[in-house]
Amino acid sequence: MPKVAFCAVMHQPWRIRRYRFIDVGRHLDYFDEKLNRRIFERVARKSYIPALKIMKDLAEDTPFKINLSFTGTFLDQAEKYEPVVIKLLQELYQTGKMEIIAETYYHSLAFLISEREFREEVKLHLRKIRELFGTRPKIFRNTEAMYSNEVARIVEKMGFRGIVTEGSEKFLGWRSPNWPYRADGTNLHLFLRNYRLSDDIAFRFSARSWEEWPLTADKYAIWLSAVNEPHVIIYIDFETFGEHHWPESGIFDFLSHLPYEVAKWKNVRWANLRELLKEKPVDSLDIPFFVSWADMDRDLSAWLGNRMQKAAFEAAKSLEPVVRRVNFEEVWETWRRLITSDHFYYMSTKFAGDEEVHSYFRGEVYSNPYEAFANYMNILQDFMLFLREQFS
Amino acid sequence: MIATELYPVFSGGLGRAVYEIVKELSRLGVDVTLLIPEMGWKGKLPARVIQLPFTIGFGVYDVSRETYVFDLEKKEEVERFNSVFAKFASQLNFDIVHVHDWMTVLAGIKIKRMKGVPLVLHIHSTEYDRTNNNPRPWVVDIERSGMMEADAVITTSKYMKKQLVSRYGVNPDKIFVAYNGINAEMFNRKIGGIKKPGEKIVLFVGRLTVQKGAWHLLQAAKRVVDIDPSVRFVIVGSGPDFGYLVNLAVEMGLEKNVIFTGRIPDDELIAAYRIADVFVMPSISEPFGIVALEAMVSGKPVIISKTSGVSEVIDHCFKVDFWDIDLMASRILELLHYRPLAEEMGKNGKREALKLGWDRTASEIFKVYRHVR
Repeated sequence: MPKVAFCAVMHQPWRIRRYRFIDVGRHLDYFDEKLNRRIFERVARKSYIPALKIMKDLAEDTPFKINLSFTGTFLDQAEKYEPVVIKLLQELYQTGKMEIIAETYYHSLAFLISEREFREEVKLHLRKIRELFGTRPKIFRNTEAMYSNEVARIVEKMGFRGIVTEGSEKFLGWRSPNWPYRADGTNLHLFLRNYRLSDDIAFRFSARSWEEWPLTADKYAIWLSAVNEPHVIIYIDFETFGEHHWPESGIFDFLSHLPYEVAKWKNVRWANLRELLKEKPVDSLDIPFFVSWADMDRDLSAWLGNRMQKAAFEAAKSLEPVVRRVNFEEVWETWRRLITSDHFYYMSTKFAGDEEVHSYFRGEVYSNPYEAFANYMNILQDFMLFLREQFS
Repeated sequence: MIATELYPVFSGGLGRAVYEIVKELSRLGVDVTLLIPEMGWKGKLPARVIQLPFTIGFGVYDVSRETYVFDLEKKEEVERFNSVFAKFASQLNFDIVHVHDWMTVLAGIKIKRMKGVPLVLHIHSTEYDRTNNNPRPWVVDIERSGMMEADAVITTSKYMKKQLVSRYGVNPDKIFVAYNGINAEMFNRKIGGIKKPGEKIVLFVGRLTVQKGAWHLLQAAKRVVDIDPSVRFVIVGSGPDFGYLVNLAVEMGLEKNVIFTGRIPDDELIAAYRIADVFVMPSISEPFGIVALEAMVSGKPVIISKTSGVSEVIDHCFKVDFWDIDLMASRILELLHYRPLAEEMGKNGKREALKLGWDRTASEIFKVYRHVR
């Protein structure tokens, strides 16, 4: 009797502009207004707007329920570039079928910087959600599902009831992600993403070489009904609909038919994540190391895997005390946009399977990880000079 | 196969390419007979190499100048030595005639007609590339007639293929790309170079002609030195612009920061790659650009111009427009100032370049052979 929690995350980073070494010290704009607008408008047109409309219809006409998380940077860009996206989200929320999952405001590596920075970002995010939706999420998901015992400990102190991360074999071993667990040393519910069923949609949907291609709604409904466990958590990028997989792939048909196909199976029920809080945990999971949902490694190596990434992150991190001392709104905003994880993700030099995913996301901004690193460092150097000139 | 240059007598692009191609083709089981002019070649190749003595009037090879005394400026001379090649070839038995660049085109055409064998023309550079777009019309005519007559044209990059189609009107269906490769073994040798502690070295290797872009590198050097006076630019190579560029460097006030070494032997070249911190190939037009691969297998980060064949096969590098002086300067400074950047690019670039052996080139050529037979 699986309860299916269908979750998606919406995110857009503030991409930085081309900044040359010889321009360090000139204090030009750091963020690429044109590029950010162009990408947001395109993704809104291809993905956010049509998919949210479909979801609203489904929420009204079928038992379909959805769980959404969205970053603060996404909400800010939506307000600036395509306010209709906010309106559609609010309408979907009004149906009572949508639950909001909390995230970090800047989709950042804040947790790796300091507990204080992490808490402040989460608080900013909660405030933003209260403004727009009048609610306070009960469940939290850290940037890219990054997780460890320590994350759970802090998140519990902040008043959350549950937390989501990747259902990785690294800590599950023989255990299934489809059971209720407790985060070790806390009373938090630990919700584990079923990555196979998630990636069937997120990654494999339009892969013609996949033996299950084409993935149809009726086939997927069968798979869900075959789960003989308490729940299934699907968590994917929202942009899966219409952007990662183009409309021609049939992804929207899949989405609009899925609830009708699921309805044919009496044992499957859609759920909001908070409903799963009623389940009694069968075990507590001790995860002393970091996991995430990224790459084959499912750890932090997508962002901190090579020397460039580590150096860039350390440089950004080292500015925290300065920014805190300065305590000036625009400086906070600039620095926090710069600790957004995407910047470090673009710098990955992984070969083999993961490279394809990294370069998909990097492609629109940089042609390779070296450009991403050099550009980022130039801006960071300029920002350091700016802080020194203005505030010392 | 007929060529006018062969490593180690010729260490430039063509001579090295012919040498490696013959070696790797032989490994694939192709029975190669290579005809070259008498040049005192004493190298080793698993193929028959026949040096044809060009009797008086045809010219001899001058090792110190790495050029023929016979005049490649004169059409009659070129026709004459091509006849010698053709005449010699007429006594041999073979299935395909493969010639390299315009110098041996006429022999190729003659042999094709005499023996009825398919002609493969391998273009390593065109007259436009060599003369900065001031081609000698009669050379272009020879190139064009070769491309028309050839059963297949092989060239070093898609970039070149485009030019052969647009400038010479060759049918793109008969042009095949076989990228050049790198013989990494040679650059594995541990040859030390001398470098002062803290010194930062930017290396250029190439003939000093307009199309190699050394002028643009000097402009970038000026901007780099303005920001970081400790950077030195080492310019390896000789050529018609040598004197002009040396004077220009002095005029720009770069005499302390730019060193012109002229042509240097292989050992010193390997050492130069070893001590370099950054390698730049700023070519205006580069049919391939093996030097970039040489720097990469030496573990060095490279900056290459987009108008080069090698840019089609490598990703772990910086690519710039040769005219974008500011960006070139910025890229140099970034590689010198951000150590993790140079380390990652050097490490991954080496790994990438090591995969680009001449065996790949030869197997592409082999496919063309099968196609024309």
